[in-house]
Amino acid sequence: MVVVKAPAIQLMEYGDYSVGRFQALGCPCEVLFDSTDMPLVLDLLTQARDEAWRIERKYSRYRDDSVISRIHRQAGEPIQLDDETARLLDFAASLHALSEGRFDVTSGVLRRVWQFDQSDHLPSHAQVDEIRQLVGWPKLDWQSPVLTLPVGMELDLGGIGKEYAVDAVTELLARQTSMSLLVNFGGDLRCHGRRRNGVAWLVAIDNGSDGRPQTLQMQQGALATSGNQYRYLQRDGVRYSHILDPLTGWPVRRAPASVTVAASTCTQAGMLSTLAALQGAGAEAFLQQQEVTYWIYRDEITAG
Amino acid sequence: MQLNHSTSGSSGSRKPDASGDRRLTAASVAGQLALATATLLGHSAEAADQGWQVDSGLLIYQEADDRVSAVEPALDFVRQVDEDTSLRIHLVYDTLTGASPNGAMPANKPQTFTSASSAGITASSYSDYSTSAVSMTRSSPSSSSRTDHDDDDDGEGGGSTYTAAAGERPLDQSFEDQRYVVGLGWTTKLTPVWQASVGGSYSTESDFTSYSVNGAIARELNNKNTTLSLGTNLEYDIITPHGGTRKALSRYDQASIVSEQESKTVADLSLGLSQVFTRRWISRFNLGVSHASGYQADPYKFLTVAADGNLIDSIDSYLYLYESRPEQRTKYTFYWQNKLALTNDDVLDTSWRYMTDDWGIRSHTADMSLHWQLGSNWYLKPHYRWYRQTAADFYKPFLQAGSDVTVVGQGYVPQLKYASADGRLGAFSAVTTGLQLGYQMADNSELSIALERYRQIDNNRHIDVPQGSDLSGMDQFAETRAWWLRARYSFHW
Repeated sequence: MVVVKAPAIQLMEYGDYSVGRFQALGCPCEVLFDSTDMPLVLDLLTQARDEAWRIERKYSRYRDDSVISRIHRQAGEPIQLDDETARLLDFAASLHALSEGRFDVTSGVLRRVWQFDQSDHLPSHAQVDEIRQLVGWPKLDWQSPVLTLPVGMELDLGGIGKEYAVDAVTELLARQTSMSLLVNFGGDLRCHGRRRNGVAWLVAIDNGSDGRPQTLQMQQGALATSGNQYRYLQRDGVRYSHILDPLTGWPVRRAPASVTVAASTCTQAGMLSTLAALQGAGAEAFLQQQEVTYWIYRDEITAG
Repeated sequence: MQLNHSTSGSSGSRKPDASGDRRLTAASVAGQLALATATLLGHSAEAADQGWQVDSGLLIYQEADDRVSAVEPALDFVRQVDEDTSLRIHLVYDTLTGASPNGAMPANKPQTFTSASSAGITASSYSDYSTSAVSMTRSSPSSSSRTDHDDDDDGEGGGSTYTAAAGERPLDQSFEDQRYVVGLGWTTKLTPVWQASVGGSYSTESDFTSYSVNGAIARELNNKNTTLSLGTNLEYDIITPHGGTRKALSRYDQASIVSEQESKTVADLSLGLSQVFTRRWISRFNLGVSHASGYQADPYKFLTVAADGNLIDSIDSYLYLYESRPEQRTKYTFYWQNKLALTNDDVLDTSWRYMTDDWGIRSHTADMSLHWQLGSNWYLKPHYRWYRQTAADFYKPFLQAGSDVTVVGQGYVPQLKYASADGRLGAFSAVTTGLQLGYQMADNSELSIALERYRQIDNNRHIDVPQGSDLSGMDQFAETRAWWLRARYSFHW
């Protein structure tokens, strides 16, 4: 086995394919290449990493030099945005409409009162109602490419960013090589091209705390998962999921612990899984209507 | 084909993005999401895989009094080749049948004509005077274009004859033609702010063939709020009238054939500026200059010669002379369009166009339409268009012996160089009113049907003729009245 070490990159060869790893967007990132041409693969992997880092730098809430921070600093006044950011905001607008207000990139501020640390610290209704004044996509003025964010409100593209990065990286690589690839950022993944040996990539979906991972053969398309069974609050025997409904400011009732959806792009898969989770008890029915392949895991005790 | 369409009419009725208020059923979320994702990922790569955007249309055109009728299916295919490049293919087929004024005046006695190996020149020569706002093609089917099928035995007095009864406008009765148009266009982004397009078009019918190439460049400025463009179109037309072209102002019954084939070149240059003033108001200006050189007459049209309002006996018929037009023509146009979004869905589109040329024609066109969204899928679009033009300097409803033509016995000497009785060169106003009903489907396909009515009003100075003469009390201008029905379906393929 050949192991290539480059700054912040790990690349390993396994027989007829190789796997590259790096850290970005707050999660482990992995790219599978159907090739053992190491110089070529290393070049592609470096580009993948740079693209993921670029997206992270640009949209991170935690970096002063990100577009998001710039928007927050200039709240209250119009700010002209670049093409890519404008497309993301247009997309956010479409999602807001498609979800009838349940998907809202301004809802990040709700985290100030909701911390999902498995404790029983629920906020008061008054606290939620107060913070809810700062939530609502229609409150901001978005006339592409000019955005005016009301003072006090926040924008968080975290709900789109990782899936978008998977697609951006996959497409960046696919423009340069015809080799089969699988890009996996923290469980959200997308596959491109058929492997030379005709065998599909094997992907495991870990969709339950006790259930065994399900193995899936992937030849094309994408998978994304929404939900995290370790992020919740529990009080008086009621478990509150971390999926918050921006219309109420409260967790969605009967939200599934995790929803995994297959679609042609990671962004579509991710948004469908998020929209499904927001449906709470209706998640399964929603996905059935969409005629997509999905896996839903529910805890018995999730209620609310 | 051109980057800047300066015509009014069917500018796409797609609304500004109204993602805010469209309610969707859960079932269509995945489809809408797929489209939104494609846009987000700037996909043209994947959008391209989704195939062609197709705009299909059918136009049925009918003039009053059984004059010209036309049926015209058209197909427009657009494909996004990659992120920056798109390809367009345009196909039109049309058939024309009916009767068309031959240029002679109606009279108080019957007139008989030998169907000239007749048929008008294609409409495309006249698009500026086109009597209608038919916008699916660059030409109006109201212009005549015909083939006389009795005409195969050309020559020695062959051909059919037709008679216009007393008081009836002489119409060349039988003509029909088919036209095929193929256009290709290629648009690409050179840099993020520069865009270029090139294209070409070929059209053919029995007596007319046209080739054209065009190119344009556009530059976006001022954060894409301003677009400047410069475009050019070069056209070469070959005119092969049935029976050849007649000598200008030669005698109808003894016409001398000058040639089998004539040609014309047209060069257009246009400068455009479009400006986004606010999110709800977009304005567009266009300045155009066009120069045509070559054969521009209608080889099948002639004029009555009258002495004191009476028809003049000639060798085989009354005296009629084939029309004559200058070989050069330069015209200038100015066009100004405003699109105002009254609400997120309702768009008012107004435009004004001014044209002047060195033939003496000046025209104004005011056009107004309102896209009125009735619900999430249906819209109505009322349309009103007003047009007025002055006559060409050489427009004459008929020629007067004495002042226009010296008639000596069986001989004659024209006193003018150019003359035409073609109504499209006369002074008239016209009003088009129409209503379109459209249905937009969730997958962005759209179905619409429009009905429009067109009426012309004669504005020419009436030439006085003595009471009781052959031309006394006759209409000197043939007002055109027409209606048309246009169905369109655009979809992804």
